[in-house]
Amino acid sequence: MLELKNIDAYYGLVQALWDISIKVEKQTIVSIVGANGAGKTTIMRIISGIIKSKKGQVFFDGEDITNKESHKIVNRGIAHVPEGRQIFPHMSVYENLEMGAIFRDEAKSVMADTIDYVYTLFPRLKERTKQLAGTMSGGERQMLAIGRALMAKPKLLLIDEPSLGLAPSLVIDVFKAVKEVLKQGVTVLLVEQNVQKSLKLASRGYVLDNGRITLSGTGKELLENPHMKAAYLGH
Amino acid sequence: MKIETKKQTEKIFMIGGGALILLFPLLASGLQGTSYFLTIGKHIFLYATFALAWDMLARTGQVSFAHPAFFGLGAYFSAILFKKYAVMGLIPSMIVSLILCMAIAFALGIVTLRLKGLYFAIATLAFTLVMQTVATQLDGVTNGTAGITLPVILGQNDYAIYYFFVIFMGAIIFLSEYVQRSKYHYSFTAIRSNEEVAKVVGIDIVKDKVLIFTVSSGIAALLGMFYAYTSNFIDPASTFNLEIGTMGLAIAVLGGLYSTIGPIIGGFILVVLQEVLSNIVDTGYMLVYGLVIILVILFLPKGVVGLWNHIAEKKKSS
Repeated sequence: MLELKNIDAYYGLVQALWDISIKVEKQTIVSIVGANGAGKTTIMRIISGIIKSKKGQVFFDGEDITNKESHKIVNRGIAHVPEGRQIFPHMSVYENLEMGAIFRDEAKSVMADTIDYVYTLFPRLKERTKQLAGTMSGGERQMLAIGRALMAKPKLLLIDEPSLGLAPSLVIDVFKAVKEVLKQGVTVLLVEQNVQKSLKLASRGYVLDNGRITLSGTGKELLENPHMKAAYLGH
Repeated sequence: MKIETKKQTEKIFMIGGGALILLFPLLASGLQGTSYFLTIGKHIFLYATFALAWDMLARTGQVSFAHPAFFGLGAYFSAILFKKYAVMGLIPSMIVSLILCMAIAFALGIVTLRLKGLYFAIATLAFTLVMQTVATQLDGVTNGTAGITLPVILGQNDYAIYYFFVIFMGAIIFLSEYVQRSKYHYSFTAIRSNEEVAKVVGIDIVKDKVLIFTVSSGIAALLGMFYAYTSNFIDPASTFNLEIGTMGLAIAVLGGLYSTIGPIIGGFILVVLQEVLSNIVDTGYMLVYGLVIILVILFLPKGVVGLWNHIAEKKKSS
């Protein structure tokens, strides 16, 4: 469904990614793990068109979407949940959700149904539908950010560090929701520092180190890999 | 609840203010110096409309100082075509001027709207200063500092001019309210809030910013033309005038940013304040005027509209 081929990316003159190739099969969860600053977020931003790659290609559903403008990429069915729970703080929960659907025609026409679906996925959001998003807790904001992305009726959901800074019980809720989303037929590409949790969930994982992919395999393989155990899992 | 009180506020102001604006000439006709009062009215509507146009762009988070340039370009393109070279009638010259100004705004927008915040503000400021210099130096075409004398439209009738500006302000209020109720309201608010998130929810941020910049600048150009043909005379200092730009900004901030009613109320307050102060404090009224603006910005960050909403909410909850 999604394929990155030999991507190089730069921030100004500084190279952030080297020769990244990643494959995401339909209706699976793929996880990219790695330390802070390894380039995980950069991969997400390349896919959703926020930054441009210098080299390499991105294919989605067989079409070349490399360096296309981000609003066109959203329209093809890729929704991005950016790092840091970035919601619109001065808008209500409901308006934030509307915001996710309004700019994609396909999603706009079924907006009411999708909101119901998001509310069943995250009942907390329904309770707070009229509340200003900026006054909510971190966990609620993360749910809202994921909810907003789902409002676009995506085929592929990119989720960047959903567990960052969340209490353990909320992390469980968020991962549960990700699993639920997969059941609805949405493919998920997940970026996480929480290596254990995200690899358990993922059917396939990639390990990113200093802008390069150093290991890949099924989630289980990676969890049992001795190098992984030593470097990331603290065994 | 917050939204309800806000709507009520706007309704009260719209109806009360609208009636006052429409009936004011009748009241003023009984006073001495009717013409003076009607001219102040014209200035209020001119500045309020200018501030509203500026605010419509500000809703995307862009602070433009190019509006005085378009105010001046609008006035000069039309004056040069209609008066100086007399190559076309008044109305066609205004249409051509508007098209030229919007084309320039479109081009300027594509180049400068990639810049953010302060950098965009500086680039647009530079544009106004350059245009002012061009208008002054290109005296073969513009008459330079000597300016261009123009006929006054609407038979020089103060009442007609007053209502003309009221109608134009009304049209821009409708446009602003239309935008507030459309998809663009979401787009502008998202862009102002966070451009990166605006992109990932599927907004074509370059297109939307260039569009509103072009429209907003076009309104400034029209106001420049209306000013020119109701003032008898234009020169570079009075049209490519940065004070008009800062006044527009101050009005929008004072009245309340990102709303339709804010710049209108702000325009009324600031223009009247300026008039009253210049009558009471003979010299140095600008000092008092500046002080008032600073105090308001310090203590009323959401402007008069924000204060009103705050009071209305307190009343409701008590």
